[in-house]
Amino acid sequence: MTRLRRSAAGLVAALALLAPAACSAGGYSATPVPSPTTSPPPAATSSAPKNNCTKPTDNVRSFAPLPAGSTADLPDFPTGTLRVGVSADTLLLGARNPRTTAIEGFDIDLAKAVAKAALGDEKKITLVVITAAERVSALQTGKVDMVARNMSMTCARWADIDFSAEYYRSGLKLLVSQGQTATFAALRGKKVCAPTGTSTLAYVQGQAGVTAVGARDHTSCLVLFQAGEVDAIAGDDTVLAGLAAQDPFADVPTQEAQTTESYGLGFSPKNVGLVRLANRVIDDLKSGPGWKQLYDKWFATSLGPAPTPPASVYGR
Amino acid sequence: MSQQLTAGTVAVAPPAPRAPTARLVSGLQGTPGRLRVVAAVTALVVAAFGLVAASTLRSSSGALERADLNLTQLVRVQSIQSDLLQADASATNAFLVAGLEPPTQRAAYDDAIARVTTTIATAASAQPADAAALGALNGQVQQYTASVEQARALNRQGLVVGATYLRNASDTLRGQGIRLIDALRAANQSRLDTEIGASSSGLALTLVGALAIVVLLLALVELARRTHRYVNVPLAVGTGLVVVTLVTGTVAIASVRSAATEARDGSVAATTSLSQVRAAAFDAKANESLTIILQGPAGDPYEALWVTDSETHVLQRLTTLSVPAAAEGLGAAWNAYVSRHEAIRTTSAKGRYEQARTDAAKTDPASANAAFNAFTTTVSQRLQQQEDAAGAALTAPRTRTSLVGWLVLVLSLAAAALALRGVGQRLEEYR
Repeated sequence: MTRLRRSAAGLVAALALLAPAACSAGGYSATPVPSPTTSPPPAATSSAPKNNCTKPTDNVRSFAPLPAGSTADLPDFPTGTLRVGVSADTLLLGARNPRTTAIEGFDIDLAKAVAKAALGDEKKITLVVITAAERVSALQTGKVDMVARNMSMTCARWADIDFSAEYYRSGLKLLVSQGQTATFAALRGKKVCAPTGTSTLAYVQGQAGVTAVGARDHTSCLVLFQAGEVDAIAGDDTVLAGLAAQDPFADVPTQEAQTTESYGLGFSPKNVGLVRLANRVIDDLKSGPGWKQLYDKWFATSLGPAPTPPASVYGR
Repeated sequence: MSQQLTAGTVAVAPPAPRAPTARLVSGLQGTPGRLRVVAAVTALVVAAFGLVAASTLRSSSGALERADLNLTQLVRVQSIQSDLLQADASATNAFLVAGLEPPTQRAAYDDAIARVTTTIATAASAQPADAAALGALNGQVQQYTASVEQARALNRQGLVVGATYLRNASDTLRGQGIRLIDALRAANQSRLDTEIGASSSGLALTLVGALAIVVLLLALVELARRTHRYVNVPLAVGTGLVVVTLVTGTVAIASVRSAATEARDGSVAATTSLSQVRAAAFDAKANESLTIILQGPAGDPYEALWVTDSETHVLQRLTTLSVPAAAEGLGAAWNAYVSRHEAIRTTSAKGRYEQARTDAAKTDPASANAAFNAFTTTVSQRLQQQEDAAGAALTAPRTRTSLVGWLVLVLSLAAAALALRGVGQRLEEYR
């Protein structure tokens, strides 16, 4: 019996020692950390642009302007306003002023002049913010009546939309860091940014040894440039002047323009009457003091004295 | 060992203390030896059953405690998400106003970011397994706040690039930031489910209990055969105690199972759903602001996201909430905001963007912001109520389960002692 009692006591002691070990430890495996998916920059359109031109000036040839004071053949404006596709972040051309929230710039003032001619009041305008890549589709889908967004008149685009007469002549240049040489040769092996869906990006892709990087718009290119992810930005001198004005370390050194960019207002092919009215407005501005006043208001500080406005070419 | 050798040793050697092995061998011989084996095996099996029963109940209680801790961590993760999205909603809404951002919006952003950083630190110390993911999330938050500050600084200087920094910040937050939060949510939800499952696992208890009863019955039969007494009272009482212990333990585990299941399908599910509703609401608000900031087609993708937030993540979740009382009136409160959002969208669709911007930034009682704030305030209150209820529901059975755990241990040890006593009585007859 005593032996049994001793055994029982030993058993209880063993159990008491074992009891804590029997409990679950509750250790967990670490939460997996998802690896960041770096979305590649949007690919540029690499297909060769269609060429619908036979003569050198075909890309800037538009429809004859309406006679002064005429508003014949104008489309219906369902909203009672002229809907214009614009940029809200291209300083000097079309950008939202953070202090007033109003969108302003050379293109905006020109669009207001067209709205005044079409509807009698420059306030009868609806500014629709679109990206560079949306310029043609916004016209094709009828989201806007007109595009005033520093749009280059190209033969390829004439196949899809109509243009007004040329209202401004710009040229493709490069924005670089201060002290950097602004030539494609000097940028070999480096990254150059331009907005997706633009003739500028197509041009950069054609440069040997340079990596073209597409972005949503020119301002997104500036963000990439400030983050050191691209080395230069290609764009029209008007646009680059607006970017350089926002970054003291960005510079557009004196350089030859690589291309000639002729700006025109874009329209749906169904609205030839509106194109002709816009051409009347543009011609009046060019022949009077209006065009120079607009230039001085927006570009003189960055680009120097006003050049002669480009001559209109008609015959379509 | 042979009996002959032992007999021989006894015959030739003078009486002397025997070696322990020899004592053990002689102690296991004949009927008394057999009875000793029966006693040892019975006591051991019954005591093992007591140990398994007690540890099952103890680990059930521990699992409930850990389930509660995991729920708290899950709510932390989800509050990080809604605070981040609230910060983003404040930052983007502030951009709708010309000039300086309103101080109230700035303060709301600062408060939300302060809560995010504090909660990340608390969550990392509360659950080491989340530390790496939370560290990565902290990096994302720093990147986000840096971008927002840069956007603000540029905006104050009147530079349009500010809005692009803001949009990039929002996009980054909704990319890798939300991916990390999703991973944290999934991991903690899985831990919570595992612990709720573990809290009511009684298979080992049942199996070992059945084995103990079988061994006790065999011992009773063996004793009856050897001693010609039908019933050995202590052993029979011990068997009764084991049956009582098994029933008590099984009932305790079953009651934990029903309580844990009820909590999981009720207040725990409501807590996680309401957390997601709150996060989706702030996401919708940020998307609304981005839609207006990017007026025109550029804002369309954000409006599509707003619709998904509103219809799928807010209204549908509220309709199917596991605790219907917690959703009472919330659908109507959200729809009050929806109608004001739609009024802003209509203004925007007519091209009156400036008016839409002004309306979206208003804070008077009839504004979208006021309706939105009324909704989120109520959701936060309901969420707190459900979280408290879930915590209480998970921890309520713990005390009872722990007490029953000690009780079954005492009862089984008593049963083991009775088994030894019962066999011991019969052994006395062989002395």
